[in-house]
Amino acid sequence: MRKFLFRLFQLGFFFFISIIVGLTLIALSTNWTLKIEQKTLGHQTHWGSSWERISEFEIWVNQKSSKPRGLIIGSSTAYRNINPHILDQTTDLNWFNYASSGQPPIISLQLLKHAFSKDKFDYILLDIYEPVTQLDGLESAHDLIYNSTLDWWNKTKLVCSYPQGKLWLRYFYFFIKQLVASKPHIILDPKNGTYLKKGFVCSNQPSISQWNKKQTNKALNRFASLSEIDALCKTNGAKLILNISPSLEHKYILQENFKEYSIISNDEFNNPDWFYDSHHMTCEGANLYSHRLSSKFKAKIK
Amino acid sequence: MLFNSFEFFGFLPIVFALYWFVFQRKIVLQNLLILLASYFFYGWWSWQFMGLLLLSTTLDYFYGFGVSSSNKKKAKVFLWLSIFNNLGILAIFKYYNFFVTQFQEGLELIGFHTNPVLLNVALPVGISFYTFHGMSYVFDIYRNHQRPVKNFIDYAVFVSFFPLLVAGPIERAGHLLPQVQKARKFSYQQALEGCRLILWGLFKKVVIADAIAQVIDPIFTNYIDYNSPTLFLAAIGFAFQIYGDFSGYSDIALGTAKLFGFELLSNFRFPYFSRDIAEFWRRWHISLSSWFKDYLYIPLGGSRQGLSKSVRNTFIIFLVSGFWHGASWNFIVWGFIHACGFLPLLLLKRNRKNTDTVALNKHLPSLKELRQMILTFVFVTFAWIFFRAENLENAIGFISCIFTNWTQLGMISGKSIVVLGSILLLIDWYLRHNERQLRVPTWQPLRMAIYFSFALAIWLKLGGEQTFIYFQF
Repeated sequence: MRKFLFRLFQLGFFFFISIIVGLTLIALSTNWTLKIEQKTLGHQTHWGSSWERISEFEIWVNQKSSKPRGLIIGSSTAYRNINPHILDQTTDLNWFNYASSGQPPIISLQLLKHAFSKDKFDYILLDIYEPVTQLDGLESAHDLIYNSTLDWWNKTKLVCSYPQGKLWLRYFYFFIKQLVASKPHIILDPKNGTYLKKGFVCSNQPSISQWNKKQTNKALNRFASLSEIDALCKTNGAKLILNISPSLEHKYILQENFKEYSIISNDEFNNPDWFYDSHHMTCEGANLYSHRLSSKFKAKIK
Repeated sequence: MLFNSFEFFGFLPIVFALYWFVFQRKIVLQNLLILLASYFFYGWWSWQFMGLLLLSTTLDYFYGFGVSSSNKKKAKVFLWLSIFNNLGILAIFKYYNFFVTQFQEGLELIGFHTNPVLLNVALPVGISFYTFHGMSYVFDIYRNHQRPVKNFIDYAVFVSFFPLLVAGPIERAGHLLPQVQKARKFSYQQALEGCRLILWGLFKKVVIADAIAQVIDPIFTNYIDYNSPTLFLAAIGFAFQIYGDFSGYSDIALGTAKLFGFELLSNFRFPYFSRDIAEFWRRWHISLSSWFKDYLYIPLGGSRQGLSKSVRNTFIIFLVSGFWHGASWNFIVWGFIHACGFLPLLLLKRNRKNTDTVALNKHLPSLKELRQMILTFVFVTFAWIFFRAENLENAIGFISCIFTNWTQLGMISGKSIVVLGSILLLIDWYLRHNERQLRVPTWQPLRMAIYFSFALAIWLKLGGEQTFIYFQF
């Protein structure tokens, strides 16, 4: 028995060490790093510039603000469609767009906990794109672990919430890259968008202009984590406002159990010229949308 | 709990440590631990059906005493009670809706409209396996091959031992019960072989079968959108997927049992190297085919009552075997196709021709053997289409599209199917001499490199676990 256990531990140990050595070699391979990363780990840093946006959030949140603060949270429909610079000008608040790719409410909850641990916010604008509320959060966890400067504790919580081999590997790789001072590879993909600071990504894609599908009604049901997000905001003295992200495909019909929330609906924003796909907006579309959203927001908080 | 889940990798070391370190010297406690662990393992998936498992186990335990009676009439009554009980459970949970809808459709054909009550319950995992365990135990006692077990825990372990509980191998009382009743001693060699089998089984399931499934599942769902070469490739892909999936499961089961000092029956013996259908069935899902042979084919007279009865019995076991897999016509047709493939061999008395391992002590098969293996594989793959399709209509549609969709559209790159299928076949060819003790290279660095590459490949795929195909049966 002893021999067996010793052998098993020995193999496990050497396996673990060989993985660490392998990851270190990838991180140290300088000119080849990006290529090997892309082949082995599936490099994703071009996804919505999470790396820059999360780093900037940490600076923004630690700076003193003379104005009340507002935080936008959600998925890509938030960071591509809501321009915080416009909201800053029109609402007299200091906004940051803290959304990230494929972020379902369960991850928003974790990020909000992290944000509240740093500072107080007056308003939380939770952007809701219905298909993302159905996601389990694995895609978002990959993005945040491998592609952001989120602190190690939050990353560890994410990796434990989503037990997946590849996610663990990326988690280790992220810290190895930090330890061996391998440069972070931020792929600047002009087609993907331009990062305009404060968490906003302006999409450089042309509008779809022609949209032949008819917009259909779809029920928006209450999703897991909404009550917890609401309770967290209340505890921290922030007002939660839900923003239903528009889509060319569906008009979302809110169910009865949303009554207790303050909700902004944007069904009328459905001109295909403003979108580059069914739910992401072009730069012009996002700016126009942000102005309209700002007016609705002001009406809500009056 | 799935073998390819993180929970299982937490569960297994805990049970292993308790088994060998805490209860090492007490066989009663070891068996009790296995029983509790098995119910925990089963309940993790569905605690609601734990009661059904316990009920089925308890009834067969008592029927065992009944059929051992010297009074033949009384014994027969208990035998029928056991059959009625086990098949009754299967009939309710697995076949009720099928029979009712068939009956309804039959009535509608003659102008009667009915509104039948259908059951809306999930199929309890492993139901076809544990009911067959129970029946084989009672049959064996009835035939004086086995004596009833007095200790309920021992019997319950035989029925619900967690490595084999949800998808077999279907064990026999005469093989497993003596191991349950006998004190187990830890064997380094056995545990090592167990670990190798687990690693190989996980590789087959997680790396090969699941990756192929990702490619072929959309094709089988929307076969009309794909062209003939793609559909042909998808059919071959499924042949590899189901083999990787089920034999992977069986290897993990055998390996896990070895860690606890048990030897289970083999379920697969490199079936895709079979030279005819008869050989295929001696190598594919062995525990099920031997169960049907012993408890259905032979009681029906086997091949000893003339050719016509032999043919009849062959068709019966293949059709029943198909129906055992699922309450749907496509499974029955799948069984029928195999019976048709077996028939010429039976008529020509060549069904026992290929009993040895192909190209034994040789590196490569002869051209004749290769041709036979390819033909058998093509036949089996064709039959798998019926097994994989949602229903009979889809299976026929899929096959007709293979022959008619000669367009440029709907083409996929089948690289992953070809590469993964080839890896599976090449490793199997290397291992084909013994399925229970995996042949490993003697040069340690190479052996370690293989272990590590397999482990890394499995690790990269772990987390998005897909259930095993045979769990639905």
